[in-house]
Parts: sequence; structure tokens; C-alpha cells
Amino acid sequence: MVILTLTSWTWFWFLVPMPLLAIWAVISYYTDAPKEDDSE
Amino acid sequence: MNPTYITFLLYLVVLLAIGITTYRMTNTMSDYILGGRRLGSWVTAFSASASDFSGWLLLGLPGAAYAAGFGQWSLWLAVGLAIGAMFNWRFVAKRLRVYTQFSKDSITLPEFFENRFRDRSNLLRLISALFILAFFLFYTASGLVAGAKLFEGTFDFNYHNALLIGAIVIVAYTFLGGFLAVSFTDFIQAFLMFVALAITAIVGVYEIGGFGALFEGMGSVRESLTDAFAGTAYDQGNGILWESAGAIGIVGIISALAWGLGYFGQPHILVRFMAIRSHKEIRKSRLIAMIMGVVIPLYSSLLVGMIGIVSISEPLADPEQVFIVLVQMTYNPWVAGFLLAAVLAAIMSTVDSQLLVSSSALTEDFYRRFFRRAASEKELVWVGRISVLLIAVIAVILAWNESSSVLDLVSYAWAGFGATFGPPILFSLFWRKTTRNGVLAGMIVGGLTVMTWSLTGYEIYEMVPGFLFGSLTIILVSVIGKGPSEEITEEYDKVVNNL
Repeated sequence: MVILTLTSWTWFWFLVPMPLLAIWAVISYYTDAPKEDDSE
Repeated sequence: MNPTYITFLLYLVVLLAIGITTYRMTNTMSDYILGGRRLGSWVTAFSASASDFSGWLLLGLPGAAYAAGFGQWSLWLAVGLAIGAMFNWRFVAKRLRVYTQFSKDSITLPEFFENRFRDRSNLLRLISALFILAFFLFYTASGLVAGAKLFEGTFDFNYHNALLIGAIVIVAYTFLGGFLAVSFTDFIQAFLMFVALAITAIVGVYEIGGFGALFEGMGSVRESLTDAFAGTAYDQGNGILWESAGAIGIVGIISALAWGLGYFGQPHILVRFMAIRSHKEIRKSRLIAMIMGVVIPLYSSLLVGMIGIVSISEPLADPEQVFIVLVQMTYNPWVAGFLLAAVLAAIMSTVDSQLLVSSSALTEDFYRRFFRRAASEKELVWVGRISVLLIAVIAVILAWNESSSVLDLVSYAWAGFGATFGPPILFSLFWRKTTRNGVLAGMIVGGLTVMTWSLTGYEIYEMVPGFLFGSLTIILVSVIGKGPSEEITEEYDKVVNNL
């Protein structure tokens, strides 16, 4: 119910998805760091 | 001389200088098409974004936001594109980089498909090259039209002169330097256009009195402008100024979000992933591209349109002029010249990439394959250059009609590539059991669905049925037919183990 209310709100779509994607890019920058022994 | 002209000319001189410099560094076909796979993470990130966000980021999307605020499809389109871009960077980029190298160092998409499936019939290469040429001709033409309209609007040039000047500059440096020139100028152009957009958005919001005042101002023009689920009609020529047009409905929202699917099949963007120096650089490129090349520009682009609603007193005849008008209103001619050069940059950076991919389709997939298997590298580079010229001439002819619609063509070509190559790329990279026949059939079904969808009369964006039918065809044909050979699955496993 809460999700339905939130997603019917214009501001939710303006303010949430794009910043979340940017945060995902930041997090995956660290989680995808190559291991020490990773060779080309 | 008008300061705006001087800034513009300076910009063009820098572009040509880069073309001439990289001309000396281009010796082989791989250099010409992929820059010898030696791009760093910054150049990859910005050139991928620059060749992706053509003039529509500065003209089209602000125009949509000017005409309908949050409503209609502008916000959904931005969200859909951001999601598509992230998924492409996160899941496709690295695999494609690694796989294309394992698959006999493939340097074009058609070549990758052929090598990936050990296709000796030439069919995969031929069909994909045909779709590339068909859709890019219209894509390139639409870019040239946009550039011509910019020159025409800013400098009062005659449309046809503007078209020819723009085409000559673009061809000159694509012709000379190939991929290296295109990627490095993309880097500069991406910087220019993202800075231009962001500054205009920040200054605009500040001058209006902050975000609160901006959104209140939009609401006072028409309530529906602040509602993402509402439609707003705008047609100044017929006296329709921001009139509420009811709810946009789920089909409208899905159609706009579906633009994001297009990313998986755009040859001019995917080729950026193939050219990066090492797959290890991708995570850094992704971070730079997503923040500085996707999220901030999309927000800026939406805001520029919305600022126009509140701060331009006379409603515009063409909503897509909103950025140009705002720039001329806000800045002195020196800065305006710089910012308008950014519009040209955006348009050119896409056209040059498309010219290059089309040229590689003609050179690698037709010339080398069907006419001169033994062609030397030097000869191929020259054939590539002549192809650029040939394609540009055809695109100029297509763009010659002043009433050509830029956005319709872009939307059509984006759907065409997304549906033709998106499913084949995704299944080739992620499904071990994908077969050559599956990909071939999926490509044809996806591409033809986009070409013929308008005949059905259904209003949904062609991308949705094209992508869906293409994917289903790949699954169906791969499952029914003979599975892939051991050699193919072994290579697939090797790639997966090397990720």
C-alpha cells in the first residue's frame, strides 16, 4: 500500500530512481574492484 | 566580428586540429575503427555518453519538458534511459569487451556475431550490416538536419548552406582520424555539452528563485505540468498552449520507459565498450559515465525545459528551441557562442560515431568480405574513409528536405537498433545455448517488427513489440533447432571464466 502511494507520486519518480542509479554506480565501483591476483 | 561567431569558429578549428593529429596515429583498420583498443576510462565514459546523447539531450528532451513539464513522457523517458544506461554499463560492457576479444578480436558487431557463432555462411554479418546501414542512414540524416537547424536559427544561414557546412566539418575529421579522432573529440564535446546544460539549469533555477518557485511557477501555468501521470498538449501554431490532456496511461509510461531497452543494441555505443584499454577500466568508466554523463545531464535537460516554461515570456513556436532561446536570453554573446557550440557538439558527436560505424559496416562487412579478402590494412583504412564520404553524401541528400522531422527519425532508429541488436547481444553474451539460427531469426524479426509496426495502428513504441518478438524468436529457434557446437560453448565458458 505504501509502495503504491509512493510510486503514484511524481516527486518519487523525479527524485528516487536516478540518484539510486548513481549510488549503484558508486557502490559497484568498489564491489567490482579487481582482485590482487587477477591477471589480464 | 560577432563574439558568438568567434567562439564557434575556434571550436571548429580545434576539432579539425584533432582530426589531423590523429590522422598520423591511424595505420590499421583496428586503429581506425576501435582506436587499437587503447581508450582510457575517461575518454570511454565521455565518448559513450556523447555519442549516445545526440542533439535531443539539448533540443529534444528540453523541448518535451517545455511542452509538458513532468507529464506526457519527458520524466519517464529520462528514468527509462538512466536505467537502460546503468544496466548496459553494469552487465553488458565488460562481457562484450572480453567476448569480442576472445572471438577472434572482433572489431564490429556484425563480425562479433559471425565469430561468436562460427557462421561461415556470411548471413549473420550480411543481415546485421544491412540493418546497420539502413537505420544509420536515417539516424545520420536526422543529426545533420538538427545541426542545420541550429546553424540556421543561430546565424541566420540558409538551411541548405548550414547543412553543407555542418556536414563538411563532421566528415573532415571522421574521414581523417577515424575512431581516435571521434573518441577524443567526443570527450571534448561531452564536456562542453554537459557543462553547458548544467550551467544553464543552475543559473535558470537560481534566477527564478529556487526549485520551489520553479515548480510553483509551472503549476500556475497549468496544474498538469507538475504531474508525471498527466498529459499536456502544446501546439503554439494552432493556439494550444499547455492544455490538460488527461492521464497518459500505462501504455504511454511503458513506451517512454522502453527507450532504456534501446541501449543494448546501439552499435555506436556498444563499440565504445569494445574499445576500452582493459575490461578492468570499465568500473571506473561506468562511475564517471553514470554520474557525469547520464544522471546530471538528464536532470539538467529536464530542468532546462521546465525553466523555459516559467522564464520565457513569449510561448515558443518550436519547443525544441528552448535551450537555444534560454542561452541567448541569459548570457553575453561570448558565453552564448560557447554554449551554442555545445549544441553543435552534441549533434556532431553522434553523427560522427554513426558515420564511423556505417563505414565499418561497408568496409569490413561488405568490401573485405565480398570483394577483396586480401585487402591490405592501408587499403581498408582508405576504403573506410571513402565509405564515410559516401554515407555522408547520401545522408545529406536525405536531410535536404527542410521539413524532415528530427525526433521521429531518432526515435525510429533508436527502436530499430534496440530491437534488431538488443536481444541478439543479450542472448549471445548471457545464454550459452543461443544458436546462430536463433540470433539470425531474432535479428530479422526484431528489425522487421520495428519497420512494420506502424501498419498495425497500435500506439505503443515500436521498441516494445520489436524487442519482445526478437527475444522470443531467439529462444524459440535456439531451443527447437540443433544446439551450438562444442567449440562455441567452450569459448562461451572460457569467456565466463575470464570475467
